[in-house]
Amino acid sequence: MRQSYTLPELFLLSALGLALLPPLAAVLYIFVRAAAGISLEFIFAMPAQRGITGGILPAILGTLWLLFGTSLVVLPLGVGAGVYLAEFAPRNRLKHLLEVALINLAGVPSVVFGLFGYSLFVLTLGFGSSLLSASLTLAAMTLPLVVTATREALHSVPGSFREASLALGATRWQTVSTVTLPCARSGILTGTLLAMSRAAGDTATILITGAAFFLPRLPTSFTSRFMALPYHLYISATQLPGMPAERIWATAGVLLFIVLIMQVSATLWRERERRLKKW
Amino acid sequence: MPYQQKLVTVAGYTVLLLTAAIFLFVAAQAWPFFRDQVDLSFFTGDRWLPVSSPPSFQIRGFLVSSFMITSMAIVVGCPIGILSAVCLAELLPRQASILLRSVFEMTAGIPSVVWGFLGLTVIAPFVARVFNLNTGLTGFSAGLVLSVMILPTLVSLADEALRAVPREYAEASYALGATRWQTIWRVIVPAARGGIVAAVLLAMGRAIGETMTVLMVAGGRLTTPGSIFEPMRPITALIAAEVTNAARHSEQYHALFAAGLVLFSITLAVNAIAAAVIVGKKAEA
Repeated sequence: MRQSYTLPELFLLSALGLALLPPLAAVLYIFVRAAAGISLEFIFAMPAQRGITGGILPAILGTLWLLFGTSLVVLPLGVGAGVYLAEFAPRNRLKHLLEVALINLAGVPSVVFGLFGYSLFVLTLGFGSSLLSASLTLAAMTLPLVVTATREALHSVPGSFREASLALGATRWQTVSTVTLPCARSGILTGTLLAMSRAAGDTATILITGAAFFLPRLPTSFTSRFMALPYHLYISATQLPGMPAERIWATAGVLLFIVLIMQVSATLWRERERRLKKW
Repeated sequence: MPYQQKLVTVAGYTVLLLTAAIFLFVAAQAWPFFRDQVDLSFFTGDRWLPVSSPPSFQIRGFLVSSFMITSMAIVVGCPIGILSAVCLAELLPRQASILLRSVFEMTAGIPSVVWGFLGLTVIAPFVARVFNLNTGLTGFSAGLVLSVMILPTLVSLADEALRAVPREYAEASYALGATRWQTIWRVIVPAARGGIVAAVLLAMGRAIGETMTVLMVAGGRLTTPGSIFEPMRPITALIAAEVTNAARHSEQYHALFAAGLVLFSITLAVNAIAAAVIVGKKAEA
């Protein structure tokens, strides 16, 4: 069907253009400005002279380590909680309370997660400013995203699948582990990927729980401090007057690239699955 | 009950536990500060002097800054966001809407520190030139950047609310001879009102809690701003800027957690209202 629009409707569409323009222009502008500062050395070398020369390898690897640590904690916990909410939780006040807690948890500002992580992991449990503290804090921050994604993915599996499995004599757990969870796999995966891209870009939490600006070595264990891209960008942009501009843009470009790669692959994967889905 | 089922049950209750733990840990660190407070000067005073003797910890300036920047983001972002959602849900062909929804979702992934950097290097100088200010690092610039940042939240939730309106409503309206424009504004949008209000509230919660952008762009002045065209420091930026420098169990440390508790309570209130609207809607349907 061909669409034709009246004048006021065209006005509405221009609002949509206005909403899409700034972020798209921002992405484009950053990549263009970053191109001048990107080189093999910038990506694969250790930093030198407080980051003025050399590369940002430890920051890139630090961010990847952080994602690894975060997903190690948040995946089992978040998927488990999502499964419980979607498949097992009896419909009562407690479930209602859980769902309200989930919505509220998703709305807690990252800086408050930072305060929580600082007082619990860094100070009370004595993990110090470290990869461990930061990963745990980010896991707490991304937990509601993974839980929600899992729950929604399971909700979208048709009830008849469950009924068929139960009718064949499978237990509830067998039904979940062999029928519904495999059907919901791609939804859970994309949700987790989106949550991890959020973790990759978050600065306020790691600033409080253990990121360091200049560490010309790789973290040796989960109790080391670490460099990470977003924190590196923040310090380069605000606290180091001597930092060459193209290096800051390049850092922003690398961070944006990593985050967008995760977002785009999650989105493409989901669209692919949506097309393949037969139910 | 198989042990796996017990495990997921435990995981489920972790969500509840974590929410409670966040509140308790922040509150426990804030308590020593509130215990020593005799009046409400923490909220009403303008003197944040952590290193003078005696030190003074009063957060009116930060609260006012948060309020100003959030209001600006909502006032600018809401009309654009809601109109965009109407386009996605009602005007565009299905395929185009699906594509643009993905684009919005992806722009939600642009990290706030990247927005902050753009605000610092592009928006602030621009604002300074246009409004002839000494510095562009003001609440206005931060609010402008935030209004863009809240759009994905706003658009996707409002879009969802609009699409949840039963198709029959629109069909009934068309059958009565209404145009598409009339149907959108007199039938669909009013029917989705609750969900749109929730979308605005959740976007507001995001704006209040946003940290890096306001830390980098708002300017960082510690006193109550007279107007949005002045440098200012919202409460999130205060915490991020000072907490790692405050000695553990110093008065400043506890005061920062007290500020964190206030921030947490505000976002909790905003989200609780949004949750009530959403859950209430679900119960109604």
